[in-house]
Amino acid sequence: MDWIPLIAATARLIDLHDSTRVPGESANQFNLYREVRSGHPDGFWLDVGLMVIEYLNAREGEVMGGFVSGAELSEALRTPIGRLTVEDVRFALSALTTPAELWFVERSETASRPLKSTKETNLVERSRTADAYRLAPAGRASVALAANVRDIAYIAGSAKNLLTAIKARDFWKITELSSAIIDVLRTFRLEIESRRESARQDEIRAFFLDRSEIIREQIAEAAQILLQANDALSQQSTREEFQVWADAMERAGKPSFGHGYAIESLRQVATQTLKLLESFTQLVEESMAPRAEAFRSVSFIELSAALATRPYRESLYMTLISVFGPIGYKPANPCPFDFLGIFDPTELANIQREDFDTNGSEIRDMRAIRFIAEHGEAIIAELLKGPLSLHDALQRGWIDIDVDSIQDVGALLGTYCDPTLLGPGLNVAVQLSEQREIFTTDGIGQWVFDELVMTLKGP
Amino acid sequence: MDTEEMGQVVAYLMQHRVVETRPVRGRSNDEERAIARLLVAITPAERHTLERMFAGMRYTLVDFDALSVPALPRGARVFLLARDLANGTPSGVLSPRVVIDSMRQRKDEAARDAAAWFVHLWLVHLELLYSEKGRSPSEMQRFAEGLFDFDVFLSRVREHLEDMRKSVNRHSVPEDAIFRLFERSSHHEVERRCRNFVNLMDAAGLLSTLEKDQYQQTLLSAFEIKRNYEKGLQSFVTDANAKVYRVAASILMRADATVADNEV
Repeated sequence: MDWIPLIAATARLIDLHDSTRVPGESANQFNLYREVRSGHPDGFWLDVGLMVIEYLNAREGEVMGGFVSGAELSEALRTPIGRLTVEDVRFALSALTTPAELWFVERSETASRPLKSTKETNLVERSRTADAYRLAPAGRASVALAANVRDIAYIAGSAKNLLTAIKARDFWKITELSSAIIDVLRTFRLEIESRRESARQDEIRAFFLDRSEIIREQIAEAAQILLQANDALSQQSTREEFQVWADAMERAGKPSFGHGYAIESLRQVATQTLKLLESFTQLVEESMAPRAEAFRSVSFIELSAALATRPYRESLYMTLISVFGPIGYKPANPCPFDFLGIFDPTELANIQREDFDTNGSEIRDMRAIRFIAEHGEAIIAELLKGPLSLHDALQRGWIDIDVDSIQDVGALLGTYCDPTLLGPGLNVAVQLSEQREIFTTDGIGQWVFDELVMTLKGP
Repeated sequence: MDTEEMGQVVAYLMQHRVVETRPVRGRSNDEERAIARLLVAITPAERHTLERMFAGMRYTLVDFDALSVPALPRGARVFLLARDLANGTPSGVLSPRVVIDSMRQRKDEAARDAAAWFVHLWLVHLELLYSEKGRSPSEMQRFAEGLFDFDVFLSRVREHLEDMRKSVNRHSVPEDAIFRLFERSSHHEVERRCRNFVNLMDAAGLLSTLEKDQYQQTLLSAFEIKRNYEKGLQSFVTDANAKVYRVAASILMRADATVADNEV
């Protein structure tokens, strides 16, 4: 029995239930001391209580009506816990049989929030006529909850529950059980990942050594059952009954969901299960591989201190940035149209380096401004005469194409990309023509490009 | 998916590198939704084509859902275009320009200074995300724990610089060491640099802003760090922690480790 998760899941909720804090008070005035439970470091009474419940649960199927006498209980408990007295057992039993009233606001879709309460909280009930005990409904529920370990090895059972719910027309359980299965899958992956990542490789290896076959079988079986469940839900007769159920729920003003939604959640569970099945072998293999070293925590501050006090290596810094830092794309050419052309210089050596120059961008910006300042008027004069193609512009000799002034090509192209550079108030259109041009210079090489034409469309 | 749609997907991924079907920060535009729809409906053959194409650019295309990364919202899928040293060194079309430009305080500041500030602030931010949480860079799943307030980051950086000031013997530091740059920095300059850093990381999808001045590591960042740490950075960092410094870019590529030794 897995009691602790169950108790952990409810302990703080009970604190909130019991909280005496007045709504509206400052959060600092939280009566924290009341919410802190001192507990018993030896866990003694919890142990006794849980043993009572487990004993009653074990005997339930064997004795008439599930009743076990107080004497038998005392005897059974005092064997493992030697120092336990009859009075101690009586105390534990009276705690378990006394109902505590729980107050709660019924949470519903509507604005009214009716306040309700229940006293069905005693875990054990005492026979009215004898010193005999059996599990109360809440006690039985607690056993069921504690036994419901969220374990992947039981996933086929959960899938079976889902199938049974559909066959028994308990449609409201479909979404609940589906999400429970998804939770199991999720928890399983999380467990594996977190153990693998925190270098608890041995644990995980032992886990898989013992159980990987069982788990694989269970997942395969679950996938099979889920497909059956999907079929069962898709049948015409089920569909009709589903509609009847949904209508009834609607009339009663209770929440329900459509058939499509139910099918969809089933489909999702089935897909997820199949996906896990597919990747299961890989998961096991990865988990078995020894990779512990990668999981050690390391100090980056020390690395920083070490790097900072050693000679600066540009290549290292730039590599770190390009592997891990934010990235942008290098503007290979200043204009997207350039991807349509090929610039094929014969003397390549000095061109690339510009991009890494310490203040390359400033130089380029300056060049663009200088280019417009020098040749802007001439370009406008040409435009006033008629359309100006890029090929013509290159032939004007505005730019002196050699290795050093290669950026001037960019500046000229920039003018074609953004003619507003020429001045405000000019309505210049740029068109891409079908024609492919070749421009050759002696100094540097050959440029193959798709022709661009700039046209002045009125002032 | 036809060729045009494939082009859209490629272009979007190269620009943003993250596509979420259910954005954690609740923001989504038409373009992202359209791309997400295309990616969700992708056939295995198309996916294969796309992966090969990206591998050629030294990227890897991966996707996660709540089952593989439990921190993700249920039903959500996230597609990432991540740099992957397994596919080779990052492509030549990538440029550190965006980092240099954003980290610059003055127009005429040397690229070296801007790059150095970035790298060292990045290392301090890794200290917050990993070392101080006892988390190894391989622990991608814990990315959502990687939360920090700007003030904490700033004071960690200041403390680090101060520690260096106190402990470093000035005679043994070469003139071109980055420490000289840090030594001159003012209190306010450090704050401005830190601001630039978080803004830059946020814009690049490597950090996300939860609320004002509160940052969280993104899955993209955690994945890239895990992948490339295991592929190269790891030996570099562990060596540095063991007081063995191999300060060379080639160390990031395991194959070149011997070259790196000579470059000490």
